[in-house]
Amino acid sequence: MGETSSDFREALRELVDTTGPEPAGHPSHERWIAYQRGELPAEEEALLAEHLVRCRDCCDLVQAADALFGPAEEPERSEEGDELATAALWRLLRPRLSPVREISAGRVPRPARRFRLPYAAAASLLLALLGMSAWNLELRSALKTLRAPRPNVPIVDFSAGERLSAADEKTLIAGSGPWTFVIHPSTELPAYQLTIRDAGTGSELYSLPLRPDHDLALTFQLSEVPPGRYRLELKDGDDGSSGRVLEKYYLRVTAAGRGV
Amino acid sequence: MKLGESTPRSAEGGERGWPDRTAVEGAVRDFQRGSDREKNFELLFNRFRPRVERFLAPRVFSPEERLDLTQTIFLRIYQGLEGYRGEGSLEGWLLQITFNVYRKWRDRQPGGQHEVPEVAFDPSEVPEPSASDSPAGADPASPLDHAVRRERLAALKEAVAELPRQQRHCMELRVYQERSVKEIAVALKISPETVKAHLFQARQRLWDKLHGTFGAIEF
Repeated sequence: MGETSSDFREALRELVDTTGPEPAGHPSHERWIAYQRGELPAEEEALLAEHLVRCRDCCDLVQAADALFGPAEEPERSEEGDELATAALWRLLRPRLSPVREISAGRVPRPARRFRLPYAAAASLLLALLGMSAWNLELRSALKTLRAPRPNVPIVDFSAGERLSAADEKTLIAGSGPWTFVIHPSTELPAYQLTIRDAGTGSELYSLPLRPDHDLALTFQLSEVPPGRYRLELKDGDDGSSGRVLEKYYLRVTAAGRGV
Repeated sequence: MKLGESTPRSAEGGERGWPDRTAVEGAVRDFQRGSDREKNFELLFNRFRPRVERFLAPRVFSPEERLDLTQTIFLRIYQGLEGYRGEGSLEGWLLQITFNVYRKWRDRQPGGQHEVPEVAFDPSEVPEPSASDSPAGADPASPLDHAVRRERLAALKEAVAELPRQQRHCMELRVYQERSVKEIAVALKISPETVKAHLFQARQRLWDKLHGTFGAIEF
Protein backbone atom coordinates (compact mmCIF):
# COMPACT_ATOMS: atom_id res chain seq x y z
CA MET A 1 0.00 0.00 0.00
CA GLY A 2 2.99 2.23 0.31
CA GLU A 3 2.06 3.92 3.65
CA THR A 4 4.64 6.10 5.32
CA SER A 5 5.02 7.48 8.78
CA SER A 6 3.62 10.76 7.43
CA ASP A 7 0.30 8.99 6.86
CA PHE A 8 0.24 8.07 10.49
CA ARG A 9 1.08 11.61 11.51
CA GLU A 10 -1.60 13.10 9.28
CA ALA A 11 -4.16 10.65 10.60
CA LEU A 12 -3.23 11.37 14.20
CA ARG A 13 -3.46 15.13 13.65
CA GLU A 14 -6.86 14.68 12.09
CA LEU A 15 -7.91 12.48 14.98
CA VAL A 16 -6.80 14.99 17.60
CA ASP A 17 -8.45 17.82 15.69
CA THR A 18 -11.75 16.03 15.34
CA THR A 19 -12.06 14.08 18.55
CA GLY A 20 -10.22 16.09 21.12
CA PRO A 21 -11.97 18.59 23.40
CA GLU A 22 -12.15 22.09 22.05
CA PRO A 23 -9.28 24.09 23.60
CA ALA A 24 -11.51 27.06 24.24
CA GLY A 25 -11.41 28.90 27.52
CA HIS A 26 -7.72 28.85 28.26
CA PRO A 27 -6.77 28.53 31.93
CA SER A 28 -5.25 31.65 33.47
CA HIS A 29 -1.54 32.28 33.80
CA GLU A 30 -1.80 31.70 37.53
CA ARG A 31 -3.38 28.29 36.92
CA TRP A 32 -0.54 27.30 34.64
CA ILE A 33 2.01 28.45 37.19
CA ALA A 34 0.21 26.38 39.80
CA TYR A 35 0.17 23.45 37.38
CA GLN A 36 3.87 23.82 36.72
CA ARG A 37 4.51 23.87 40.48
CA GLY A 38 2.33 20.83 41.09
CA GLU A 39 -0.07 22.69 43.35
CA LEU A 40 -3.30 21.49 41.71
CA PRO A 41 -5.43 18.46 42.58
CA ALA A 42 -4.81 15.40 40.40
CA GLU A 43 -8.14 15.71 38.56
CA GLU A 44 -7.58 19.31 37.61
CA GLU A 45 -4.02 18.55 36.62
CA ALA A 46 -5.22 15.79 34.30
CA LEU A 47 -7.69 18.19 32.68
CA LEU A 48 -5.00 20.78 32.13
CA ALA A 49 -2.68 18.15 30.65
CA GLU A 50 -5.42 17.20 28.17
CA HIS A 51 -5.74 20.88 27.29
CA LEU A 52 -1.98 21.18 26.84
CA VAL A 53 -1.85 18.46 24.24
CA ARG A 54 -4.26 20.32 22.01
CA CYS A 55 -3.32 23.93 22.73
CA ARG A 56 -0.02 25.15 21.38
CA ASP A 57 -0.28 28.52 23.17
CA CYS A 58 -0.84 27.00 26.59
CA CYS A 59 1.95 24.51 26.00
CA ASP A 60 4.28 27.42 25.22
CA LEU A 61 2.96 29.18 28.32
CA VAL A 62 3.93 26.24 30.52
CA GLN A 63 7.36 26.22 28.89
CA ALA A 64 7.71 29.91 29.74
CA ALA A 65 6.48 29.38 33.31
CA ASP A 66 9.03 26.64 33.78
CA ALA A 67 11.83 28.76 32.36
CA LEU A 68 10.94 31.81 34.46
CA PHE A 69 9.93 30.23 37.74
CA GLY A 70 10.97 26.62 37.55
CA PRO A 71 13.94 25.10 39.29
CA ALA A 72 17.31 26.22 38.03
CA GLU A 73 18.76 23.78 35.60
CA GLU A 74 22.39 22.82 35.12
CA PRO A 75 23.50 24.01 38.55
CA GLU A 76 27.05 23.08 37.76
CA ARG A 77 27.17 25.57 34.91
CA SER A 78 29.24 28.68 35.53
CA GLU A 79 27.07 31.76 35.81
CA GLU A 80 29.88 34.11 34.86
CA GLY A 81 28.86 34.20 31.21
CA ASP A 82 25.25 34.87 32.21
CA GLU A 83 26.28 37.76 34.42
CA LEU A 84 28.37 39.29 31.66
CA ALA A 85 25.54 38.94 29.16
CA THR A 86 23.09 40.43 31.65
CA ALA A 87 25.37 43.38 32.36
CA ALA A 88 25.91 43.99 28.65
CA LEU A 89 22.20 43.91 27.94
CA TRP A 90 21.51 46.22 30.86
CA ARG A 91 23.84 48.78 29.32
CA LEU A 92 21.81 48.56 26.14
CA LEU A 93 18.47 48.66 27.87
CA ARG A 94 19.17 51.44 30.38
CA PRO A 95 19.13 54.36 27.91
CA ARG A 96 15.81 53.12 26.56
CA LEU A 97 14.09 53.37 29.90
CA SER A 98 11.93 56.43 30.27
CA PRO A 99 13.29 59.19 32.51
CA VAL A 100 13.18 58.04 36.06
CA ARG A 101 10.93 60.12 38.25
CA GLU A 102 12.43 60.03 41.70
CA ILE A 103 10.45 61.25 44.66
CA SER A 104 13.58 62.35 46.47
CA ALA A 105 15.50 63.86 43.58
CA GLY A 106 12.79 65.09 41.26
CA ARG A 107 11.89 68.65 40.43
CA VAL A 108 10.32 70.69 43.18
CA PRO A 109 6.55 70.39 42.85
CA ARG A 110 4.56 73.58 42.46
CA PRO A 111 2.55 74.63 45.51
CA ALA A 112 -1.14 74.03 45.49
CA ARG A 113 -3.31 76.78 44.06
CA ARG A 114 -4.57 77.88 47.52
CA PHE A 115 -0.97 78.51 48.64
CA ARG A 116 0.01 80.54 45.59
CA LEU A 117 -1.40 83.94 46.78
CA PRO A 118 0.53 84.01 50.10
CA TYR A 119 3.65 82.87 48.25
CA ALA A 120 3.20 85.68 45.70
CA ALA A 121 2.59 88.31 48.41
CA ALA A 122 5.67 87.20 50.33
CA ALA A 123 7.78 87.29 47.19
CA SER A 124 6.52 90.81 46.33
CA LEU A 125 7.27 92.05 49.84
CA LEU A 126 10.75 90.60 49.69
CA LEU A 127 11.37 92.29 46.35
CA ALA A 128 10.11 95.63 47.69
CA LEU A 129 12.36 95.35 50.75
CA LEU A 130 15.34 94.58 48.58
CA GLY A 131 14.56 97.55 46.33
CA MET A 132 14.19 99.95 49.24
CA SER A 133 17.40 98.70 50.81
CA ALA A 134 19.25 99.30 47.58
CA TRP A 135 17.76 102.81 47.28
CA ASN A 136 18.68 103.61 50.89
CA LEU A 137 22.22 102.44 50.32
CA GLU A 138 22.45 104.62 47.25
CA LEU A 139 21.23 107.70 49.20
CA ARG A 140 23.67 107.01 52.03
CA SER A 141 26.46 106.73 49.52
CA ALA A 142 25.49 110.05 47.94
CA LEU A 143 25.29 111.72 51.35
CA LYS A 144 28.65 110.33 52.34
CA THR A 145 30.12 111.70 49.15
CA LEU A 146 28.68 115.12 49.91
CA ARG A 147 29.99 115.06 53.46
CA ALA A 148 33.39 113.80 52.53
CA PRO A 149 36.22 116.27 52.91
CA ARG A 150 37.16 117.94 49.68
CA PRO A 151 40.57 119.34 48.83
CA ASN A 152 41.17 123.07 48.44
CA VAL A 153 37.88 123.99 50.00
CA PRO A 154 37.94 127.57 51.40
CA ILE A 155 37.96 127.55 55.15
CA VAL A 156 36.29 130.27 57.12
CA ASP A 157 37.72 130.24 60.59
CA PHE A 158 36.00 131.92 63.46
CA SER A 159 38.53 131.89 66.25
CA ALA A 160 37.66 131.74 69.88
CA GLY A 161 36.79 135.02 71.38
CA GLU A 162 36.50 136.56 67.96
CA ARG A 163 33.26 138.18 68.72
CA LEU A 164 32.91 140.06 65.53
CA SER A 165 30.81 143.13 65.33
CA ALA A 166 28.68 143.84 62.34
CA ALA A 167 31.50 145.86 60.94
CA ASP A 168 34.00 142.98 61.22
CA GLU A 169 32.10 140.42 59.25
CA LYS A 170 33.69 137.76 57.07
CA THR A 171 33.08 138.17 53.38
CA LEU A 172 32.65 135.44 50.84
CA ILE A 173 31.89 135.45 47.15
CA ALA A 174 28.77 133.60 46.09
CA GLY A 175 29.47 130.59 43.87
CA SER A 176 32.94 130.01 45.26
CA GLY A 177 31.73 127.39 47.73
CA PRO A 178 31.47 125.01 49.24
CA TRP A 179 32.97 126.52 52.33
CA THR A 180 34.11 124.94 55.50
CA PHE A 181 33.46 126.91 58.63
CA VAL A 182 35.48 126.30 61.75
CA ILE A 183 34.38 127.83 65.00
CA HIS A 184 36.44 127.75 68.16
CA PRO A 185 33.92 128.46 70.91
CA SER A 186 35.18 130.14 74.03
CA THR A 187 32.95 127.98 76.21
CA GLU A 188 33.54 124.23 76.22
CA LEU A 189 30.25 122.45 76.01
CA PRO A 190 29.34 118.98 74.82
CA ALA A 191 26.88 120.25 72.25
CA TYR A 192 25.96 123.45 70.53
CA GLN A 193 23.31 124.80 68.25
CA LEU A 194 24.16 127.07 65.33
CA THR A 195 21.44 129.27 63.86
CA ILE A 196 21.91 131.28 60.71
CA ARG A 197 19.70 134.36 60.51
CA ASP A 198 19.24 137.12 58.04
CA ALA A 199 21.23 139.96 59.54
CA GLY A 200 18.74 142.57 58.41
CA THR A 201 15.45 141.02 59.44
CA GLY A 202 16.68 138.60 62.12
CA SER A 203 14.65 135.76 60.66
CA GLU A 204 16.02 132.28 61.09
CA LEU A 205 17.16 130.70 57.85
CA TYR A 206 18.89 127.56 58.93
CA SER A 207 19.80 125.76 62.11
CA LEU A 208 22.00 122.77 62.82
CA PRO A 209 23.39 120.99 65.87
CA LEU A 210 27.13 120.88 66.30
CA ARG A 211 29.40 118.78 68.47
CA PRO A 212 33.02 119.68 69.16
CA ASP A 213 35.74 117.45 67.68
CA HIS A 214 38.83 116.33 69.56
CA ASP A 215 40.33 119.82 69.12
CA LEU A 216 37.15 121.27 70.66
CA ALA A 217 36.44 122.97 67.34
CA LEU A 218 33.07 123.02 65.65
CA THR A 219 33.18 122.29 61.95
CA PHE A 220 30.41 122.44 59.38
CA GLN A 221 30.13 122.96 55.68
CA LEU A 222 27.82 124.98 53.51
CA SER A 223 27.70 124.13 49.87
CA GLU A 224 26.10 127.29 48.54
CA VAL A 225 24.87 130.45 50.13
CA PRO A 226 23.01 133.14 48.19
CA PRO A 227 24.30 136.70 48.35
CA GLY A 228 23.27 138.54 51.47
CA ARG A 229 24.22 139.36 54.98
CA TYR A 230 23.90 136.74 57.67
CA ARG A 231 24.27 136.42 61.39
CA LEU A 232 25.51 133.17 62.84
CA GLU A 233 24.42 132.57 66.43
CA LEU A 234 26.08 129.85 68.46
CA LYS A 235 23.94 128.72 71.37
CA ASP A 236 24.50 126.19 74.13
CA GLY A 237 22.77 122.82 73.91
CA ASP A 238 21.44 121.22 70.80
CA ASP A 239 18.01 122.79 71.17
CA GLY A 240 18.10 126.24 69.72
CA SER A 241 14.72 127.31 71.09
CA SER A 242 15.86 127.48 74.69
CA GLY A 243 19.62 127.98 74.33
CA ARG A 244 21.60 130.94 75.40
CA VAL A 245 23.51 132.76 72.69
CA LEU A 246 27.21 132.27 73.31
CA GLU A 247 28.79 133.77 70.24
CA LYS A 248 27.67 135.80 67.23
CA TYR A 249 29.45 135.99 63.89
CA TYR A 250 28.59 137.98 60.79
CA LEU A 251 28.97 136.82 57.27
CA ARG A 252 28.51 138.70 54.04
CA VAL A 253 28.16 136.93 50.80
CA THR A 254 28.55 139.07 47.76
CA ALA A 255 27.63 138.27 44.22
CA ALA A 256 30.46 137.18 41.95
CA GLY A 257 32.23 140.00 40.15
CA ARG A 258 31.27 142.65 42.69
CA GLY A 259 33.82 144.14 44.90
CA VAL A 260 33.83 143.75 48.59
CA MET B 1 -3.52 37.74 45.81
CA LYS B 2 -1.93 41.06 46.67
CA LEU B 3 1.64 41.91 46.14
CA GLY B 4 3.67 40.99 49.14
CA GLU B 5 1.51 38.07 50.14
CA SER B 6 3.25 34.79 49.89
CA THR B 7 2.35 32.55 47.01
CA PRO B 8 1.19 29.14 48.20
CA ARG B 9 4.16 26.91 48.24
CA SER B 10 4.46 23.50 46.77
CA ALA B 11 4.05 20.33 48.71
CA GLU B 12 7.78 20.24 49.21
CA GLY B 13 7.61 23.66 50.84
CA GLY B 14 10.28 25.14 48.62
CA GLU B 15 10.00 28.18 46.36
CA ARG B 16 10.50 26.13 43.22
CA GLY B 17 13.23 28.09 41.56
CA TRP B 18 12.03 31.66 42.07
CA PRO B 19 15.13 33.79 41.60
CA ASP B 20 15.57 35.50 44.96
CA ARG B 21 11.89 36.11 45.39
CA THR B 22 11.91 38.28 48.51
CA ALA B 23 14.45 40.67 47.00
CA VAL B 24 12.47 40.89 43.77
CA GLU B 25 9.19 41.62 45.53
CA GLY B 26 10.89 44.23 47.69
CA ALA B 27 12.40 45.84 44.60
CA VAL B 28 8.98 45.94 42.93
CA ARG B 29 7.44 47.61 45.98
CA ASP B 30 10.24 50.18 46.16
CA PHE B 31 9.93 50.82 42.43
CA GLN B 32 6.22 51.49 42.81
CA ARG B 33 6.91 53.86 45.70
CA GLY B 34 9.23 55.77 43.37
CA SER B 35 12.38 55.21 45.36
CA ASP B 36 15.52 54.61 43.30
CA ARG B 37 13.63 53.08 40.44
CA GLU B 38 16.56 52.37 38.19
CA LYS B 39 18.38 50.41 40.87
CA ASN B 40 15.30 48.41 41.79
CA PHE B 41 14.49 47.65 38.20
CA GLU B 42 18.09 46.60 37.60
CA LEU B 43 17.70 44.05 40.38
CA LEU B 44 14.58 42.64 38.73
CA PHE B 45 16.37 42.64 35.39
CA ASN B 46 19.43 40.85 36.79
CA ARG B 47 17.28 38.16 38.36
CA PHE B 48 15.02 37.50 35.41
CA ARG B 49 17.15 38.16 32.35
CA PRO B 50 18.80 34.71 32.47
CA ARG B 51 15.37 33.12 32.92
CA VAL B 52 13.96 34.95 29.92
CA GLU B 53 17.00 33.86 27.94
CA ARG B 54 16.37 30.30 29.09
CA PHE B 55 12.89 30.46 27.62
CA LEU B 56 13.83 32.20 24.38
CA ALA B 57 17.07 30.40 23.54
CA PRO B 58 15.56 27.14 22.28
CA ARG B 59 12.86 28.96 20.35
CA VAL B 60 14.45 32.06 18.89
CA PHE B 61 17.61 31.03 17.14
CA SER B 62 18.84 34.44 16.03
CA PRO B 63 20.83 36.14 18.82
CA GLU B 64 19.84 39.55 17.48
CA GLU B 65 16.17 38.68 17.60
CA ARG B 66 16.57 37.25 21.09
CA LEU B 67 18.22 40.49 22.15
CA ASP B 68 15.37 42.54 20.70
CA LEU B 69 12.74 40.36 22.31
CA THR B 70 14.46 40.47 25.69
CA GLN B 71 14.66 44.25 25.55
CA THR B 72 11.02 44.48 24.52
CA ILE B 73 9.98 42.24 27.39
CA PHE B 74 11.83 44.28 29.99
CA LEU B 75 10.70 47.58 28.53
CA ARG B 76 7.11 46.37 28.83
CA ILE B 77 7.76 45.31 32.40
CA TYR B 78 9.30 48.70 33.18
CA GLN B 79 6.39 50.56 31.63
CA GLY B 80 3.80 48.40 33.33
CA LEU B 81 5.38 48.08 36.73
CA GLU B 82 4.16 51.45 37.96
CA GLY B 83 0.58 50.56 37.18
CA TYR B 84 0.84 47.01 38.48
CA ARG B 85 -1.31 46.90 41.59
CA GLY B 86 -1.05 43.24 42.45
CA GLU B 87 -4.41 42.24 41.00
CA GLY B 88 -2.82 38.91 40.12
CA SER B 89 0.38 37.32 41.24
CA LEU B 90 3.64 38.96 40.23
CA GLU B 91 4.66 35.71 38.58
CA GLY B 92 1.49 35.62 36.49
CA TRP B 93 2.03 39.20 35.40
CA LEU B 94 5.65 38.62 34.40
CA LEU B 95 4.68 35.42 32.63
CA GLN B 96 1.93 37.18 30.71
CA ILE B 97 4.24 39.91 29.43
CA THR B 98 7.01 37.47 28.50
CA PHE B 99 4.68 35.10 26.74
CA ASN B 100 2.74 37.79 24.88
CA VAL B 101 5.93 39.30 23.46
CA TYR B 102 7.13 35.86 22.42
CA ARG B 103 3.79 34.85 20.91
CA LYS B 104 3.58 38.04 18.88
CA TRP B 105 7.01 37.29 17.46
CA ARG B 106 6.17 33.60 16.93
CA ASP B 107 3.00 34.35 15.01
CA ARG B 108 4.92 36.55 12.57
CA GLN B 109 7.37 33.82 11.72
CA PRO B 110 6.99 31.63 8.60
CA GLY B 111 4.22 29.20 9.40
CA GLY B 112 3.01 31.40 12.22
CA GLN B 113 -0.54 32.54 12.70
CA HIS B 114 0.06 36.00 11.22
CA GLU B 115 2.48 35.05 8.55
CA VAL B 116 2.25 37.34 5.56
CA PRO B 117 1.14 35.18 2.63
CA GLU B 118 3.32 35.15 -0.41
CA VAL B 119 1.64 36.60 -3.46
CA ALA B 120 2.71 35.29 -6.84
CA PHE B 121 4.24 38.08 -8.85
CA ASP B 122 4.15 36.29 -12.16
CA PRO B 123 0.60 35.28 -13.20
CA SER B 124 2.08 32.31 -14.98
CA GLU B 125 3.29 31.03 -11.60
CA VAL B 126 -0.19 30.89 -10.19
CA PRO B 127 -1.00 27.19 -9.90
CA GLU B 128 -3.80 25.81 -11.91
CA PRO B 129 -6.99 25.42 -9.93
CA SER B 130 -7.15 21.89 -8.71
CA ALA B 131 -10.20 19.76 -8.66
CA SER B 132 -10.60 20.38 -4.96
CA ASP B 133 -10.94 24.10 -5.63
CA SER B 134 -13.85 23.65 -7.93
CA PRO B 135 -17.24 23.85 -6.29
CA ALA B 136 -18.52 20.87 -8.15
CA GLY B 137 -15.76 18.44 -7.29
CA ALA B 138 -15.00 19.19 -3.68
CA ASP B 139 -13.16 15.93 -3.08
CA PRO B 140 -11.39 13.97 -5.77
CA ALA B 141 -11.32 10.85 -3.60
CA SER B 142 -13.63 8.09 -4.49
CA PRO B 143 -16.19 6.66 -2.05
CA LEU B 144 -13.83 3.73 -1.56
CA ASP B 145 -11.04 6.06 -0.50
CA HIS B 146 -13.43 7.65 1.97
CA ALA B 147 -14.32 4.32 3.41
CA VAL B 148 -10.67 3.31 3.80
CA ARG B 149 -9.87 6.59 5.44
CA ARG B 150 -12.69 6.27 7.91
CA GLU B 151 -11.61 2.76 8.69
CA ARG B 152 -8.03 3.79 9.34
CA LEU B 153 -9.10 6.65 11.57
CA ALA B 154 -11.31 4.33 13.58
CA ALA B 155 -8.44 1.88 14.03
CA LEU B 156 -6.11 4.69 15.10
CA LYS B 157 -8.68 6.05 17.53
CA GLU B 158 -9.13 2.65 19.10
CA ALA B 159 -5.37 2.04 19.37
CA VAL B 160 -4.69 5.47 20.84
CA ALA B 161 -7.52 5.10 23.33
CA GLU B 162 -5.91 1.94 24.63
CA LEU B 163 -2.64 3.73 25.40
CA PRO B 164 -1.99 4.72 29.02
CA ARG B 165 -2.69 8.40 29.56
CA GLN B 166 0.94 9.54 29.93
CA GLN B 167 2.00 7.56 26.85
CA ARG B 168 -0.82 9.07 24.86
CA HIS B 169 0.03 12.59 25.98
CA CYS B 170 3.69 12.08 25.13
CA MET B 171 2.85 10.67 21.71
CA GLU B 172 0.30 13.42 20.92
CA LEU B 173 2.60 16.21 21.98
CA ARG B 174 5.36 14.67 19.91
CA VAL B 175 3.28 14.11 16.77
CA TYR B 176 0.55 16.74 16.95
CA GLN B 177 2.62 19.64 18.27
CA GLU B 178 6.02 18.36 17.17
CA ARG B 179 7.47 19.06 20.60
CA SER B 180 10.95 18.02 21.63
CA VAL B 181 11.50 15.47 24.37
CA LYS B 182 12.57 18.25 26.70
CA GLU B 183 9.46 20.32 25.99
CA ILE B 184 7.24 17.31 26.57
CA ALA B 185 9.02 16.66 29.84
CA VAL B 186 8.35 20.23 30.95
CA ALA B 187 4.73 20.16 29.81
CA LEU B 188 3.97 16.90 31.61
CA LYS B 189 6.38 17.50 34.50
CA ILE B 190 8.24 14.26 34.03
CA SER B 191 11.86 13.58 33.24
CA PRO B 192 13.14 13.44 29.64
CA GLU B 193 14.09 9.81 30.20
CA THR B 194 10.54 8.99 31.18
CA VAL B 195 9.30 10.79 28.08
CA LYS B 196 11.62 8.70 25.91
CA ALA B 197 10.42 5.54 27.60
CA HIS B 198 6.76 6.52 27.11
CA LEU B 199 7.37 7.33 23.47
CA PHE B 200 9.15 4.03 22.90
CA GLN B 201 6.37 2.02 24.50
CA ALA B 202 3.65 3.95 22.70
CA ARG B 203 5.41 3.37 19.40
CA GLN B 204 5.63 -0.38 20.13
CA ARG B 205 1.97 -0.65 21.04
CA LEU B 206 0.79 1.33 18.07
CA TRP B 207 3.03 -0.63 15.73
CA ASP B 208 1.61 -3.87 17.07
CA LYS B 209 -1.91 -2.73 16.31
CA LEU B 210 -1.51 -0.49 13.32
CA HIS B 211 1.49 -1.55 11.26
CA GLY B 212 -0.82 -3.38 8.93
CA THR B 213 -2.86 -0.24 8.48
CA PHE B 214 -0.27 2.49 8.42
CA GLY B 215 2.96 0.67 7.79
CA ALA B 216 5.74 2.74 9.26
CA ILE B 217 4.95 4.36 12.59
CA GLU B 218 7.62 6.78 13.58
CA PHE B 219 7.67 9.68 15.96
